[in-house]
Amino acid sequence: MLTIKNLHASINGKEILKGINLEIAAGEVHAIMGPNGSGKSTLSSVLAGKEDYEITQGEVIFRGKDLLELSPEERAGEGIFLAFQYPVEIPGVSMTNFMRTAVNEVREYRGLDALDAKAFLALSKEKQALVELDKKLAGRSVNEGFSGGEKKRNEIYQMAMLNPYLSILDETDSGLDIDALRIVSEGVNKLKSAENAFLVITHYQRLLDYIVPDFVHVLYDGRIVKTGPKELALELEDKGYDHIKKEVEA
Amino acid sequence: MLTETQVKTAGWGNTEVQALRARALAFFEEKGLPEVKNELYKYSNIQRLFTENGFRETELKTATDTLSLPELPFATSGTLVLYNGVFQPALSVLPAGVEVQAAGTILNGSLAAQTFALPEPDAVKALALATASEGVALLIGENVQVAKPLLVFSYTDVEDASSLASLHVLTAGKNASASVLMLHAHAAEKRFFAQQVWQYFTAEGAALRVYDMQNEGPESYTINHFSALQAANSTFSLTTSSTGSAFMRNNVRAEHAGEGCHTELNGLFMPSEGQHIDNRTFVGHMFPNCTSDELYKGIAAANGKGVFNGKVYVARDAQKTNAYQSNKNVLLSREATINSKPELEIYADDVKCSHGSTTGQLDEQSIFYMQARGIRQAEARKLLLLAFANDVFERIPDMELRAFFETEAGQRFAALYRSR
Ligand SMILES: Nc1ncnc2c1ncn2[C@@H]1O[C@H](COP(=O)(O)OP(=O)(O)OP(=O)(O)O)[C@@H](O)[C@H]1O
Ligand SMILES: [Mg+2]
Repeated sequence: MLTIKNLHASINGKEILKGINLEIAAGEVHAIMGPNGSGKSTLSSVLAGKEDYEITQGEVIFRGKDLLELSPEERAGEGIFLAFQYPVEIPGVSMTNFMRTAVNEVREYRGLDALDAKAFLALSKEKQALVELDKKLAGRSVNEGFSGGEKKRNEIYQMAMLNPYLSILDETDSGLDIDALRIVSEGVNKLKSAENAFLVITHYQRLLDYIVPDFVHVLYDGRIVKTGPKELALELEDKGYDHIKKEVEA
Repeated sequence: MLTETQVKTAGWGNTEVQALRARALAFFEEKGLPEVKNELYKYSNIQRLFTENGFRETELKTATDTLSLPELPFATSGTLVLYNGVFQPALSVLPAGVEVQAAGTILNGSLAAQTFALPEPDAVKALALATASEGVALLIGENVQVAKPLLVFSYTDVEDASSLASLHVLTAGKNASASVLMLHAHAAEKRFFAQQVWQYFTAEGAALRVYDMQNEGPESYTINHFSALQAANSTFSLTTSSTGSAFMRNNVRAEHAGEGCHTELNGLFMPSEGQHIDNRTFVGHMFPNCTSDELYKGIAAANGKGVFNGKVYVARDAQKTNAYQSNKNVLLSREATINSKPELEIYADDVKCSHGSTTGQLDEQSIFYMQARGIRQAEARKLLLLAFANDVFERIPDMELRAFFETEAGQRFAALYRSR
């Protein structure tokens, strides 16, 4: 589904990603862990198409298409979804209006008819229930005044609405209380299928108890320096990154 | 450039008015068109406007029988048609309780003095007063409640580079309530310089809401003089949505003549390629216990130029005044400019006044967030602009009118990104 080859990306002349290689197949869950500042969010932003970054080398193929050629909205249309580490507040744009526009833009991109108000409402209700998102939030401006946990649930609700092939969850667990973590994870698991894939960025093993990864990658200093089975996450939780850093620097 | 003949020939049988017009002409002839060093027209170069376009007096047609009226998506209470500033009775239908006369018939004594006053040394207004053809006096009767908006449609049909002016009066009787929607159109490819003077008198307890949809083509160079004199406990509100014209200047003035008045001024101005839109407002708190609330939002694209210069004046006796003024602007390109100059002049001590002005850009993080959800960049920008403009729309209590203004703005925003 996704092939990343030797991806280098810089911002303001500073290289952040220094040769990422990653292969994700449909039906898989990949976890990325790594110390603060190692480039995890940068990788997700680059995949989602944020223009602040300069891609200096490498390629990204997503479902047969050169992803780097596409605008962010085209990538969303193709089926990339990024659950933001820090969801953006948009005062004055109502959640409903935002979500309906998004759903119908994506449907148009995929050659589907727009949902009418009734069908949209029904779909929206179903997906809100999936992550137990408070209905009242739909009447508010996008993320405005949402609690940290509400913002993260809202991301997963949006993901469910847009039905992506590849979902990138950037620290969706941070800010969620213990119950919310379980609810959101169960929501994600319900959306898992043989056709889609997940790239889960997290600092904690806890999330991976619920969303069980097929592979765990360690991102350090802009490179994936280690890949292993789900047990690697346990090991990292136990030992931290020091030994990996030493290995890399040696 | 302008001769005395027009002063003599443009209607106005009223000799009191004749004298006031002659005085205005003398004032104009003494001062001439303002230079840019004139504080009132600091950001609007009127002299250059005239020299570049060669505006001049022309023979004006004063009647038409072939005008097609705008079709609106909602019901109105009636329609008043102005053609080159001249009332067209055959095309007009007025609601019960609303009467039309020639402006001069009611302009006597203090009403005349007020209408022709030049509280600021504004030679442009003097020119308008001196050269204006006699327009209408719209009289809304005592206790008359006009539920739906009254449409005032004015059509300009002149030779290229014509200069014209008209003067109209609107009185809202005691405890009357009405709203007026002004729409404009003009003949294609004929540049014109139009001045409209609207003098509003709101009697005790009256509520008058005026909405001006300023969306004419690039041939239009327009200066509006909207002045309200409010008797006790009356409400006056003016909402302007400015997307059109090559040059637009709104001179807005509201003054309180009794206690318990409320004034609301709302403006959305959206200059784009080659456009200059200038708003100058003055709210005069002369009596105690009055409130005013002013919100102007500017969105400048391409090389568009916008101006907001608003003054709130609170006289020494105007205790317990509540006056708010806010101007917020968004610049969509490097070449776009908006000059903002809020002013407070307060002589009373027991007042609540605030003013603020901000100018920024659309939030790129928000745009990326929306794009990441599949929303095209142009659509994302449009949503953000509508969100920005929304608090102006929210001040339009009539939901049909609100939707009308919102749609107009939405079309403008969509067009901004289509043309790129
Ligand atoms: N605009 C920028 N200018 C300069 N450096 C930047 C910019 N944006 C990000 N960086 C740097 O890029 C590096 C990677 O940041 P990134 O957000 O990808 O890290 P992360 O792995 O997601 O960290 P965390 O675990 O804290 O979320 C950091 O050192 C950060 O300071
Ligand atoms: Mg991060």
